[in-house]
Formats: sequence, C-alpha cells, structure tokens
Amino acid sequence: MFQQSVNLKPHHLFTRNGILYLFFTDEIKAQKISPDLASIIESISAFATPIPPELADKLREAGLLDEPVETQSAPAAKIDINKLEFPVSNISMNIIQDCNMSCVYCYGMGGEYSHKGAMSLETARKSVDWLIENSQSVPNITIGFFGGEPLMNLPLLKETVAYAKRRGRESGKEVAFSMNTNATLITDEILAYLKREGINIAVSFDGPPEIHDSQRPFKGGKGTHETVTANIGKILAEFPDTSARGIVYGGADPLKVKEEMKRAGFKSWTIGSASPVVIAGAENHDAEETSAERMLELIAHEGNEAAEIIKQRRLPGGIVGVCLMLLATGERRIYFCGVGKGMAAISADGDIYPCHRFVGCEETKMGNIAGYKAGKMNGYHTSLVTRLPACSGCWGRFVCGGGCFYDHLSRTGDMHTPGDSYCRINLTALETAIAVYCELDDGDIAFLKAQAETGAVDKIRP
Amino acid sequence: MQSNDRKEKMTSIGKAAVSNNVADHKELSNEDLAMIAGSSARFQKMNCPPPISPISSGWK
Repeated sequence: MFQQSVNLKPHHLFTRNGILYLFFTDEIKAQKISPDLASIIESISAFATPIPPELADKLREAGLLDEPVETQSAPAAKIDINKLEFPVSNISMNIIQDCNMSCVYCYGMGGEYSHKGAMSLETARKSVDWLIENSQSVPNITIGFFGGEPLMNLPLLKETVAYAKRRGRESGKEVAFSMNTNATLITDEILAYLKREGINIAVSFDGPPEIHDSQRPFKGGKGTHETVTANIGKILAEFPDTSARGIVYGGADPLKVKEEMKRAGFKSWTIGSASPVVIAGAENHDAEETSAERMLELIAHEGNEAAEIIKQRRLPGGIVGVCLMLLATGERRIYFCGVGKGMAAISADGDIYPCHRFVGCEETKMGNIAGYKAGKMNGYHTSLVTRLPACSGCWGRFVCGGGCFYDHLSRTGDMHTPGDSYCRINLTALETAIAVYCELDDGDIAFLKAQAETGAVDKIRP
Repeated sequence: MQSNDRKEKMTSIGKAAVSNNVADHKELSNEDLAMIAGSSARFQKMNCPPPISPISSGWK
C-alpha cells in the first residue's frame, strides 16, 4: 500500500480533566482534539514517518503537517549586525546597599550584597550619564531606585532625580522613575515628593501577619506587618496603581498572600518563590521545593477562575492570565527579559551587572560605569531561547523565553539551565492556560488580544 | 553553590554571556540575527519581573 512521509510540526499533546489538547510550539496556537486524532499523532514519530494518505489528510486538516510553502518573496537579505543598535534603556541603581529589614530569603544578603555602603553623588550622576550615553537613540529611558531600602538614602534619590531630569531635557530623552520599597519609612512628605516627581512605586509585601512577619522582620527580629500595612493605606491613597511584590518561602500559602494583598487594596500584584543566593560565601535556604508545590496550587486556582473573569471583561491575574494574553497575540518570545541587554543594574560602587539580582555576583559583573560601554551585541543578546541547549527543544519555549537567568544560575550553576521546579511551574501554568483558552469564544480572545496590544502584559512592571 | 562550582557547570553559551564577549557573528544564522534585530525587541528591554515566570502576577 502506498505510504507517504510526513513531518509533524513541533507540538505538545496533553490531557487535562479527560480532555485532549494540542499546542503548536512555533505558532503558539492551541486546540482541543479528538481521541482518534491523538492516537494517530502518538503512533507516529516527529520526522518523516511513512503513513497512509488518509491519515496524512487528517493530520493536514488539523494543521499538524510541516509542509514547505511556496512563496513568491525574495530570500531574506543578510542582516548587517553593525547597523543595529544594542541600547540599554533602563537601569536599576543600588543607591544604598543596606536595609532596615532582614528578610529571610533576601538574595542581597540583608540588602548589603556583601559590600555594605551608600552610593556617592558622583557615582549616581555618572550612572545617569552612562544610561543616557548607552541608551543610544532610544527616547524613553527608565531609572529604578533599588537597594537595600532606597528610602534610607532619600537625599541621593532626590539629587539623582533632579540631575536625571536635567540631563534628560538636555539630551532630548524622557526619563521615567520607579522605586522598590519595603514601605516602612514612607511618610506623607515622602509620598508628596514621589507624586510631584512622578516616581512609581512597587511595595514588597508578603501578605498576612503570620507570613509577612516571619519572612520580613526588621533587623532585630520585630515584625513589620503593622508598620507596612499602615503605610500601604497612605501609598494607595496617592498611588492607586501601586503594585505589590510578594514572595512565598517554604510552606507559605500564596493564596493567603494574594487575598491579603487584595484586602489591603492593591490592584496589581506579583507573587514569586524565593531563589537561592549566588553571592560568594552566602548561606542558602532550602525551601524551594515546598514553595514550588505552593505555586502549583496558586496556578490551579488561577486556572479555575480565569475564564469567568475574562467573560466579565476583566483581566485574569497571575501567570495563567499572562500566558492567556500571549496565546491571544501569538507573539514569539525569544528572550525572557532584558537581562544583560536593554537593562542593567548599577551597584553602589558603580559596577554594572546584567540585572539587579546579579549584583555582588562577581563572575557576572560586566564592568564599571567608568569604562564599560554597551552598544555591542553581547552574549546575552545571542542567548536566544532557540539557542539554549536546555530550552531549544522545549514545547513551551516561545512562551517562556528561557526563564530567569539568575534563578537558573542559583539553582543549577548554569544561567541557561533551569532547575526542575522552574520548568514544572512554567509548563503547568501554560497547560492550564491552554485549557482555559480553548474554552474562550472569539469575543473573549479579541478582548485579551486588545488588552495585550495596549500594553497590559507589560503593566506588571512598576 | 559557590562560584568555582558554577563555572564548571556552565555551558559554553553561558560562559560567553558571563564573559561578556562580543558575540561571534559567524555562529549566528540569518534567522537568529533577524530574531535579535526584529519582532521581539520589546523582550530585550523588558524589566523585571517580566511576564511568564514562576512569578505569578496579575490585576484585580
């Protein structure tokens, strides 16, 4: 009997609650399929398997065949890398490497990054100059104030904002500002200043007192929940869109954290699990696996409520919600984030790192503001998800983008090799989102797409 | 895991990223270059935490 060879497109076939789903890796598309089709797919291998024509027709109908498409377009011109810009458009500045708190999971070793101290005014100004120079032709740049607790160096923050605004005007660039704070030092006067200067805030907050106080005490051990919640009320009165940042550690329940964030009045939030510390000599916590299990519980919860929220024309929260928006747009994600590329972190000493999480990790230091020039394609630009050995064959690669290099380095010793729990969480979330997506109607998907295109995906950022 | 252990575990592409060498263009296909230059530019500048991570983010 005549048989023909077929190539299947990269895909992922899975079952959820007794329903079969098919996800196309390259096209970022998903559909429910019949058990009949699933068994055909499972019976053949991915490459050039000879099968009867009627089976090939069924696979073709489902969009599974990887067949050459004849096009009239000319072959793509060779790209001249020397004509491309590789700008840095946002920096985080460790204006102080010290903190009034002692969070149990802090990757900065109590906010000090093994090198306690405050940034000088000269270093702060040079950092701003460095950003303006290395942002090349990018008109909109961002400065994030980070620490430690940046409000412990408020005078320098004010000096830096004034200087950056002046330099921005001189260089024709719009400068935006953000600040991550533990909210213990907030006063009415500070809030008035932040509002006047247009500085966005993100607040670190781990939810109910029994979790927050055990994870985020003052140095000395006293809980901070009472102080922080009192200040959150003031912050949200002035900045209603302020984002909450929570960490689950050990057995902490992320659902309780999320509920407390909502109760406190936050409209946007992020919850993540703690990563180990990579600074030389650091002692590490051993609570990741429990946190991973807890994160999976949160993902299941998000999946259960996502479709109903979308029907109400609201955006579903959580990683499942963001996966849904990316499914709606179909945009391929080749990087996870701007690490080492469009973003950089500057330590109190003026050293440059790929992102704020790497500060103090000597082997990842890129240089110093005194001499380092960005603008060339570097190893972070070439770390496309399609080139990462651990990720290039993963079915979820174009939604994940390769993941957080800091998290990978801290767990596996290689910034391009994720830990097991990392992928388990990500891929579970994506499968959950696919199942939800397949229940949505055209209007729901159009809503998600419109939200994504107006930048809703990026609103996670402060 | 300490620094020396990490260096031994790192893949060649990881070492290239960390050493911050300007990438060897010859290793890159035109498709790679197109991706680097092209449609996902917003992911190059994306701040932290970006969407899609074991960070659960959302809106009320």
